[in-house]
Amino acid sequence: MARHSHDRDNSRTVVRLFTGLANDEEEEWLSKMDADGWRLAKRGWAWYVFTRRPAGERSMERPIYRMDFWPQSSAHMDDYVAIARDAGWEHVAAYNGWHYFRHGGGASEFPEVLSDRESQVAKYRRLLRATTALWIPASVVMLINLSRLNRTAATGLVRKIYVAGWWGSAAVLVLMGCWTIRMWILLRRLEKR
Amino acid sequence: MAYLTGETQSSHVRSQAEQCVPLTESTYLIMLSLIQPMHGYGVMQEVKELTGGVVRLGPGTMYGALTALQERRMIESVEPAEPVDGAGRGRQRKEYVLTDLGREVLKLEQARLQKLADIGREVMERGTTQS
Repeated sequence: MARHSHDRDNSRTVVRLFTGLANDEEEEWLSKMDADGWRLAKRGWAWYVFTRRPAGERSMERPIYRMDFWPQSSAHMDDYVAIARDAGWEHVAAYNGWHYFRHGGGASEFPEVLSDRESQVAKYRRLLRATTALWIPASVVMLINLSRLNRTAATGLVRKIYVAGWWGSAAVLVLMGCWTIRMWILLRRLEKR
Repeated sequence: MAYLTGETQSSHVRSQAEQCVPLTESTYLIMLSLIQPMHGYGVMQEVKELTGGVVRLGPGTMYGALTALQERRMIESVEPAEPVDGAGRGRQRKEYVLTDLGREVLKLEQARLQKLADIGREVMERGTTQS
């Protein structure tokens, strides 16, 4: 479902939506893009900006990408970036709590950002907690819409807008519900493995 | 009186420490490295050395552990004593060290693992002499 919305000589934007449930799929895709000469530079809501890798920087090894999730991007993140840099990982992009690290490859280096299962589980737990925190405001918005719909004397277009708003919130809420349940199942499976 | 306060304080630390064990393998090794002040990447190298290369921590695991240990007040950040040399690439790294609570937790965990290993050895030795 990748679509190239915009192509220029040295940068390229690709529209693609990942659910966040399977980071390895996204990491693998980024690694493949890099191997093809496109290095991740920026991430947006459903798009990725790549820049052309400088000529002559091609290594024999395929670059590795890893993702981590830290919802509150605090000053502490600098510490993470510094530790990662020391260990051979470049912090290439950040978006909405997601952090992307790139490793140039090479057999002598250890190719993992999260090296034990406890820390991998902790990443998904942070993600689940951050999403659940979004649930409450989303539910409130929907309830407000619902009460307005019943109380409003509005007719015609205004009423239609209220109804559309209600269905919109309902759809978002259902989607978030499905996502959260799937994430919870995934987390349970990871914890038991 | 001072002795009494000291006593209450240490027993308070001890009861707090008891709630922090058991530790994960990574956390145990990280805390062992932080008996002396050290920066994050230094800990990664130290753990690798201590375990003969068997346990190699990733930067994400390292950062996650440092954050969790700080939140639980088992380590604290300290100002680096001297500028980092060439390996630090010109920037000072934040250093961490065990707190009193951290030291107590480490002692408890070490004793717990020791006991488990002793029990294991005892049972297995009994097993081999019987057969």
